[in-house]
Amino acid sequence: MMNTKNVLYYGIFLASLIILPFFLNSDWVSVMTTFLIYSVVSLSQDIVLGRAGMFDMGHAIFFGLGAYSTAILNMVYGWPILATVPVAIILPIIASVLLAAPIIHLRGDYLLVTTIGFNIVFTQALKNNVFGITGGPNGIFGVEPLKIFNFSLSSQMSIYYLAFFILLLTLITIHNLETSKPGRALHYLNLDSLASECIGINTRFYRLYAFALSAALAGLAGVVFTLQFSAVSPGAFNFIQSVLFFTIVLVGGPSSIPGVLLGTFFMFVVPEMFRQFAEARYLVFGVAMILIMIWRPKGIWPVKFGKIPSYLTKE
Amino acid sequence: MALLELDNVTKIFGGLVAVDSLSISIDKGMIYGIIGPNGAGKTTVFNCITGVYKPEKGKIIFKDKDITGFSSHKIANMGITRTFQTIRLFNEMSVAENIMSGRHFKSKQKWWHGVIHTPFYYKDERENWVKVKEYMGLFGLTHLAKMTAGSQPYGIQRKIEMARALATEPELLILDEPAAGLNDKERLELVDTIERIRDMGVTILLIEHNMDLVMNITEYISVLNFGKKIAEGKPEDIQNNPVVIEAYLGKEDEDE
Ligand SMILES: Nc1ncnc2c1ncn2[C@@H]1O[C@H](COP(=O)(O)OP(=O)(O)O)[C@@H](O)[C@H]1O
Ligand SMILES: [Mg+2]
Repeated sequence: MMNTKNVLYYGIFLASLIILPFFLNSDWVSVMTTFLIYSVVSLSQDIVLGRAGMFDMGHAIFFGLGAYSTAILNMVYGWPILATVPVAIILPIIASVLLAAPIIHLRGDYLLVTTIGFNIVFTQALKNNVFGITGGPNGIFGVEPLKIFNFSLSSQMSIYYLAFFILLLTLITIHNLETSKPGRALHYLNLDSLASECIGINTRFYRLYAFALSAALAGLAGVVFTLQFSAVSPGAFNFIQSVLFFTIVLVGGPSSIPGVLLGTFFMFVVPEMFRQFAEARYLVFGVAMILIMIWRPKGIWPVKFGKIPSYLTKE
Repeated sequence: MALLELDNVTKIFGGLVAVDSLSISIDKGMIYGIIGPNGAGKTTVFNCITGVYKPEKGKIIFKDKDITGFSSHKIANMGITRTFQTIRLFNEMSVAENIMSGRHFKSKQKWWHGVIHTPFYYKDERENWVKVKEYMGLFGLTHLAKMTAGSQPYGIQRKIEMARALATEPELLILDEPAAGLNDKERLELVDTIERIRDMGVTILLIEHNMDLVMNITEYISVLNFGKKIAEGKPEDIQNNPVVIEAYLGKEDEDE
């Protein structure tokens, strides 16, 4: 149910991303790769936080589980990268359902504190080298590049396009979600959980569904993260990172794809543009966040509901 | 045979017995009314039937099946849907999307259709939107399809809520004070709508404060006071029942 205007906007956005690397030096290609990866994580966070309205502040766990799965299976067990991908998706799904199941009925603020707790436990476990495979505080270095049919995707350019591909996949998934029964159910239960139950929506199931789907996407982003840096370390997945993803969704616009993409851009790319101002840029940043929340409480680019098929209003 | 039966249902809040050993029996196809003064326990009865509260004692039987303690969504999926005394719509969403929520269970999309769209998805999606269109037509809401539900006047919001409940294709529709906050014109329309829903074969259970409306439209009435049923019968019998007049009608005269 995309109208022609939206198709055009997305077309321009995606086409610019495709040609962009030809105009950038490799440092900036690397920055933009990070942007693509974090966009996927933020969009996945939005499924739980924006759409289903659950205050999940431990989203870095699922991102980290994906990244570490690939790193560990490759470095410790010698798996080829491609073979690690299913694990990097399924493990976060299982973890998200196990973590969320006992806490899913909690009210917003309680859920928030619980997920922060989970995140702290997660990073501590990584730092303490659990099962002797996480590499401790320094993490794991020297992960191999992805190989597809003897092609080794080791250049920055190739990883950029890999990240682009994952973002494209995520955008398609979320568009499909938005226009389906499960996607609508998330909005309903978010806006009024009791009314949703009373018209027959199993709110518990769809809350877990939101967690599982978002964990899967975050895990996939984790794989590309590992490939981008050929390394993983606990600091990349600590609770501060979760706060960032959470903030991106709120500042950008919950449930709004362009909003979340803009939010990610402001958080990860704009600071790079103002590198020369060193720490001062973060001050500007904090102030900007405060102002946005005061003046645009629904985010920079708020979501619009009412995207319904045109034949509903005809004759 | 009764469609819905309450057998000695009791609901207690702390020390307060909100519903006290209530037994009622509702036949298929009728419009059944529950009346009583404020705080009599009417809404609590509805909350017990729809699984929002679990009664401390007693049984709720729907179509010969004991549904006591079932979760709300399960009860809804068995064929009981409701509206709320204070309207509960998905305010930020459009009128059409609100009604679409009522199609949730009837839609046969599976969890993976939230990720991948198959030919079946397109068929199912279209079928359900067409149903939404039908219900919008039935309630005269078509021209408001894209409008935000929360910004509509009460009369319209009540209609949206009823359309949403009806979109689930229930066997029993429960209306909690559907005329509250409506003006005279809207109230007349409501009577008309309720009768049309009944003619579609849906059994209706309603709580109403507006006496004219209740006496007009219902075929059978139970009167609650302090959680207890103090009378039941046809509207004309209730109107002339001295116990009811004392407990309820008398009080209303004092109030208004
Ligand atoms: N969730 C609740 N917690 C505590 N007391 C409640 C609750 N719901 C209703 N009550 C009490 O139960 C009694 C019946 O309330 P209610 O069913 O809303 O009455 P009615 O709908 O007939 O006006 C009232 O005294 C009310 O205060
Ligand atoms: Mg009430």
